[in-house]
Amino acid sequence: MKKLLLTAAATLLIGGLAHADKTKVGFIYVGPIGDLGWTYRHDIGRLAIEKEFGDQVETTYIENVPEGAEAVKQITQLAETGHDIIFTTSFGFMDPTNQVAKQYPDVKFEHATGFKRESDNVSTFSARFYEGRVVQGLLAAKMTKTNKIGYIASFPIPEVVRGINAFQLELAKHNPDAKVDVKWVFTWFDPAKEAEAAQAFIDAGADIIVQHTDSPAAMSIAEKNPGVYAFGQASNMSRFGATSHLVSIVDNWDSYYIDRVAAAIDGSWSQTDTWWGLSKDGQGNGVGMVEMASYGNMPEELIAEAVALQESLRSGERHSFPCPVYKQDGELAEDCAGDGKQLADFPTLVSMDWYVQGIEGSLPK
Amino acid sequence: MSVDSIFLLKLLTAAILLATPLLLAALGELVVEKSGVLNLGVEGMMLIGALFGYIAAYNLQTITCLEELVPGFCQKEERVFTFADYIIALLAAATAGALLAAVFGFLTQGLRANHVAVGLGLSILGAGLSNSLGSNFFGVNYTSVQVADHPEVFGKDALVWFSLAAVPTIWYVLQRTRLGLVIRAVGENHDSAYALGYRVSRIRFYCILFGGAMAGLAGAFIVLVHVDWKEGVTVGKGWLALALILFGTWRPMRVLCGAYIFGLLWASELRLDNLFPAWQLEWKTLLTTAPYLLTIIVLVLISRNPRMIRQNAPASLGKPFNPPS
Repeated sequence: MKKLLLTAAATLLIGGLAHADKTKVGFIYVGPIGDLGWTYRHDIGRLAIEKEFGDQVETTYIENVPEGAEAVKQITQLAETGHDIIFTTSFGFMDPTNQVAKQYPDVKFEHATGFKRESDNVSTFSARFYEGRVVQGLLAAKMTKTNKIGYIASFPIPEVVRGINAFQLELAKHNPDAKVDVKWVFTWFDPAKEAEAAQAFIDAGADIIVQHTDSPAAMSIAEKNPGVYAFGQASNMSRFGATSHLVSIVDNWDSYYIDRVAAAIDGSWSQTDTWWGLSKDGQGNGVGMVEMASYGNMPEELIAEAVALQESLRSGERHSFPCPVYKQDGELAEDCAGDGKQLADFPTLVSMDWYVQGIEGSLPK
Repeated sequence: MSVDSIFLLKLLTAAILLATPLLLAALGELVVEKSGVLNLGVEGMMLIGALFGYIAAYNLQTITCLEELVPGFCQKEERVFTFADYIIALLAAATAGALLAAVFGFLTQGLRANHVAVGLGLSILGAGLSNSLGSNFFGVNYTSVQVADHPEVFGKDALVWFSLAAVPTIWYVLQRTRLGLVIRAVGENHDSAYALGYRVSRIRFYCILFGGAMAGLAGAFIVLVHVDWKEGVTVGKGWLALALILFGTWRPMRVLCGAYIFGLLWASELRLDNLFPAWQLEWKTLLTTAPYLLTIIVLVLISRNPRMIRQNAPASLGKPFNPPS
């Protein structure tokens, strides 16, 4: 199917040569748009670019690109066919993106969720999804009856670990008896496996399912088991859990994508590293990359409490990792030594590879 | 270690969910390969079957509005999906799978194209076609596309019973009936079968259709019983079904065992925390690779035993048949 799309893309590109003044924007997706999760939200961002700039731009995308050598081929393909700016939207595209970027210094590259910027034409961007996990931690603490929470994790990368830790910190604050059980499924998209992981948690007595994978399969499973609640990930998954959906963390790339394409068009583009949360600057200004959508299936007072927490995170009044933060073995995090107030972005959060206290099991390397 | 019977029952339920689509697809492909045809397009046929089974089910279910907030906007609805609806949806899935298989049949049997090349093409076509048709049908933003649960038979899905019943049936037909003898003859030596007066291409074509229908059912099982339709929902199950046939050395009973071993391994991987809390994570993730490792080990073992291969592998597998003129 990738090949089909590529052919379609190539045809479009040949047609596009006649309008060489258009800015061409390329996207590399790790999954299908139809995952209704991660990739779907990036494609919404692509459509936002088309809507904003109309005839000034032309967008192309390639779906289902595997992370690794195949990605190099596909990114090169986009660079080779005259794209001015290329968004690569998965952590695993980090090395391929940097590798291709060195060979095409005139093309601008935007890599999502990574930290390597080996040449001047590579920017990175990510969202502080963990701010949403804090809110989920509160809701899970208040909603669980069995005190067992199942967390479906994809790969042990900092982004996922930050989410688990932020969740656990807030959970422990409101309900010290609740226990998070983490299962690593080593995939972003495999509906049957995600569903099976959720079912395994439920069979073991969990009544709250948290996921950091891309499809709504876990939500569908929660919906089939009365009394079990789940959180949506990446896009609004409330429609898959009429009686089980608590809240979704929704990625919103629109505003960033529009900013970057505008900069590419007017020539002001330069290398940046962007990390927006619920707001652009962490002080409550601007539309960020993280949204909370469709609170439901819980008491009104709890919604009010969650929204208040969300607001304090958005305005910067509250940090997601306030000191003291203890590591799994009980040791105080370095950033909290002395009069540290919170964990620092660099290097602690960007490279987080340890669990906080209260999570059992070891983190795979 | 506290492993109670309820836990084992749940483990088995999970294993059945994971094993049944593999078993269905592999049994269909087994008949295809027994007739001497190698169809690598199982994944594509499963996806097409899954999509059309889901579209049919979505349209067949009856949606009644229980509470209408304002005319046209339903606050609370009830979805009913009867057993008869389910059977029709399965037939739709089987037909869709068979139709895609017919394309393969036409190219390989009618135009004598290379089996491997066309089969690979079929997998790519099936994936692309199901994605684009799926997003056309449901829209990219498909809201509330959901199919209600259907009635079960003796506490399990009807397709589970069907797949289990298909194992002895296919064995019996292949080994004990005239039809099976003809299929095997065509697969062993198409020239001899042709000389005896059998229409090799036609027999193979029917087997290909059967394989497509079974793959379609396998896809439908995934989306109607396990998870809802999503693009690329099979995630490589079709390829695993192909490996399963080698694992089972073209014997239905062994394919059944293989499918359930694969299913149990996956189900255990996600439940090992409950089985062996002390195990290291590395050991647990090793279980994910176990089905693939097992296949490789079995392949190495059987390839050391030429007699076993000669007895079971169809001699004309994958060879295009050119009738002598």
